[in-house]
Amino acid sequence: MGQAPAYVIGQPALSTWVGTMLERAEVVAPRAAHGEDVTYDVVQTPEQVAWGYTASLSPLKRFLFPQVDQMLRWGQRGDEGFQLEPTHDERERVFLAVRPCDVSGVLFLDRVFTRDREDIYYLSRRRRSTLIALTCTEPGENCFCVCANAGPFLDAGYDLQLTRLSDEYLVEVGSDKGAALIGEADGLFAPATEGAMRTRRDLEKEAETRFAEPQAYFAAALRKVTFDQVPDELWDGMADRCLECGGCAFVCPTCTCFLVADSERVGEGERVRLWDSCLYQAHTLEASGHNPRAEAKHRVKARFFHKLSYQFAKPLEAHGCVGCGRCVTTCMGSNDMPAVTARIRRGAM
Amino acid sequence: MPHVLTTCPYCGCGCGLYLQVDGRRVLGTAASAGHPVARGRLCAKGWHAHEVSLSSQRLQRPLIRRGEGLEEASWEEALDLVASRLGEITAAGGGGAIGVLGSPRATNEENFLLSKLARSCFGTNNVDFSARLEALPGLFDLPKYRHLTLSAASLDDIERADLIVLWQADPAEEHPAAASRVLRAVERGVPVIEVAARSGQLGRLSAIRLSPIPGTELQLAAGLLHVTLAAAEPAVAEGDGLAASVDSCTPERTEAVTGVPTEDILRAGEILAASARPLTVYSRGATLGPQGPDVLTALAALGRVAGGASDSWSPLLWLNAYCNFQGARDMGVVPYFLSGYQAVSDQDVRDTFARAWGTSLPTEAGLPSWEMLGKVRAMLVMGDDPTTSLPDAAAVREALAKLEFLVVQEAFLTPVAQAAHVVLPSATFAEKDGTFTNTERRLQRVRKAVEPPGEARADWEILCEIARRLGRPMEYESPAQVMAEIASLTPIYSDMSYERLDEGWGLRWSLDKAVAADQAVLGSAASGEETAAVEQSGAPGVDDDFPLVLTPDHALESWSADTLVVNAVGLRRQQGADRSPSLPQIAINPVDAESLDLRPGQTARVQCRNGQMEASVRVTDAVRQGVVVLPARVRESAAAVLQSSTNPETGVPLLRPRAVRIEKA
Repeated sequence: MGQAPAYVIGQPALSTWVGTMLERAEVVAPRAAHGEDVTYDVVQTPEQVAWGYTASLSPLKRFLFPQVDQMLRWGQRGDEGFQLEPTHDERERVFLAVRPCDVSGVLFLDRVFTRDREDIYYLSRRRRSTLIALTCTEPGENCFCVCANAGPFLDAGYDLQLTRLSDEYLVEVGSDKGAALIGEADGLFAPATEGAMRTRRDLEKEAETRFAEPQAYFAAALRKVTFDQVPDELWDGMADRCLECGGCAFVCPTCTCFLVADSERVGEGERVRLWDSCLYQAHTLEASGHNPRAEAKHRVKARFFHKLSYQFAKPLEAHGCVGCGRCVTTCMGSNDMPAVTARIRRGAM
Repeated sequence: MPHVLTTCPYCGCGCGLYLQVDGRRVLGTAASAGHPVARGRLCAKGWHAHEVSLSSQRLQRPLIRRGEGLEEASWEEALDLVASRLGEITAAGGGGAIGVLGSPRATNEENFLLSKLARSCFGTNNVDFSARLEALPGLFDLPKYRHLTLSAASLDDIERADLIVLWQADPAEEHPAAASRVLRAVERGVPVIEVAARSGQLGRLSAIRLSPIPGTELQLAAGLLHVTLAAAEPAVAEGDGLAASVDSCTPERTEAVTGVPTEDILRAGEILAASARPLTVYSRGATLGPQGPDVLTALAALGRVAGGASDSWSPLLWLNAYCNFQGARDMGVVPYFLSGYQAVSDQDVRDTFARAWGTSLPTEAGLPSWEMLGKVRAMLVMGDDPTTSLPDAAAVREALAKLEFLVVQEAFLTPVAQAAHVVLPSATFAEKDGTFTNTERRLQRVRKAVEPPGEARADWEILCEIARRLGRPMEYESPAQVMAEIASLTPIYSDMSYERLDEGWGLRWSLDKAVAADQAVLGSAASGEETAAVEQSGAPGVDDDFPLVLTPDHALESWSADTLVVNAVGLRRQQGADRSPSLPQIAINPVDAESLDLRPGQTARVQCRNGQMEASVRVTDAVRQGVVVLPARVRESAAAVLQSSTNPETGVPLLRPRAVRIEKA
């Protein structure tokens, strides 16, 4: 890591700063939902930011690539006659106090949505967003970001990165956009001392030791999946444990499959894209009626081949996983990433 | 409030989910991690729940029949017409001329107001919902059967059990929140016994799969009782009528009747006898069978014999099929009960309601849904569809067409709405406040996330408008006020309020209170020995002309015959042909398919002695040789083969297994 500028900000000033951001943009931050549930959501006041949260129910994907995303609409427009209008979300957004795994998820989406061609719907939102990370000093129950090189602290990719010190936050600048934000907030930030930087480095080392033994065996799984060394019975066994809910794809920060649907009423209509999951039976259904992955085991195999091998080997040079652990919670069976890589490594259920 | 916590509108499990709102639209669904049913998980339907609200097929303005067609109209005109026609017919024919159907998907508050409207405005007890036939109607009101469709067990008991019996239930298709718990139990080594005509996904992980010839489930249960009794220590107490009556049901005899191999029966008996906490999970697949009541009685006995029943363990878990199936019953959408299973025949009960409602109440029990059609002159239908819930769709359509007046409150133009004189567009779960009660009796909040589309309104508001025009105003500012009235009149809901429900994740109502109500209202006369007619098989006789047994598959109906699936665009498109077939589909064993020269996807003609239909062929070893399985409500044509008949014990119509032959079409 280069010597990017760093600052500190105290608790009261932090609220003031969030208040100024609320004046000029939509601020999305961890927010208490019900009971212990916390999820990234639009906040209206600085007090609504749940700074002490562990994890959000959903990744940021919901805001940049919504589950239902309008692409264009059409209809009669008075004297102008029939009109076809593309729709873009052009809101300025600040994503505040985002966990490093979820920032890594956004960086992954950036690569997916710019690789072959620019996805205007995603980029329209992404270019107007600011990413403010909040580092993790205490892993959550299902976290394994260390295995995915996606946390608990980031070296780059954020606009700003906050680290909670004892009674203030260290603020690392990661981009010009981040630097500008600091510049606008006159007098709220003070330059970070060498002591503060040292504390941050200690916190990072300590945090990494808090993750127990490796939870996701990516290297071993990559090798076996790539060279087709996974016994077929394993895919059968995992298919038996998949209820095809689609949840793993929907909570995954890196999954991007969608289908496109038109819905029409008399005189008007819209085209939307909807989240899809590779585990749904019709995901690869062809127009002829043929389905190359009609059986669940083929779909499970394709999902993990894609995440563990294909994306890593060529187009994205990263596993399709940031170690957020959401699939561990959300799988109705037991086909979460740590469980699947462990099965592949040992060659048995 | 961009993330609104609410309750899933599909099956009876009742998962908590968040609707993500952006401006005026629902954008998506997220599972609640803290919710005791969802636990951070949802099934495919739950993950697509928002699509119901977004559908372009939503009704947005009232419709009035003019000539052959339905035309848009104003609310004023539509409501005035509804009130004047229903008022006239009531005046001319009395309350008995009107039939009222509620919905296992409407909220408790709406079902309560529907019951109030029927009883206080029309003076009729003809109030029901057609899917109620899935819960042993006519029997479940007797104390000795009550426990069979009011589960004492909870969904989490699946993970506490040391043996899980899936009895004619396929939770992977119909109740995934339950299936998820079964999978977790399996990971810990808990054995599963599956009893099904079509083995489901969980069958692949089962210790034993038993596939009796359809119609012989009771004989299989009796055979299992026999072997479990033989293996169990200590012997079962005297006076257990059913247990004593299975002396003759030896494994060999059971095999001869059911086709289940003796060795499988013996192994199942060993596992059952060794269990301390067995849990039998069943759904409408069991209750809708020709021997439904007797099968359930036998399962209760089996639970006792296997050592399961105690003060701290209930061995039976009933999974109902709709988000508020339980609540619709609780609210008195039953021809002989007011809310809380309080009998309409009870003078004190009627007096209490009459005082609260400022009117007198009818004393005679009303007609169940399947008898209303053909006997009443006009109907008010709120979110129900008897053409898909009652067995004989063609007969239902015919009866609907003969009504002098039919008004339907619906979000979509369902078959029953298409037959209406007036259609009133209603809100979906995402657009209104209220409560649902799940299959564990857990009362949970439904919260409004967005406004309904167009001019659609919540059912409770529509009912109040109709009542006002009939001169018997029902005035409520919100569903919370309705709940206060429910609590004041309904002992089992007496401690429920929105304040209490909002504090946590919902509240289960106490079964003790229902049992107390039973004793007080119905007496304890019916608590004698339980017996079942074990001798009589429900299997059809096969012969050379009609060598195969065709049986309905109710679990797959939760995909193919559900308005909320059909109108969820992503959900429907993402499922394969097994779940959303374009033609009726039969599932047939590979050996039978081979001998009939049938290949997957081909169209076959299915013939019984007095009817026939065409269906596409699915070849699978999930069904045994000699058996063919058909999702019963895929199309009306299914009724031509799976003819409706009546259970003599309950008077409830059902689809029986039938002998058929199959050939290439």
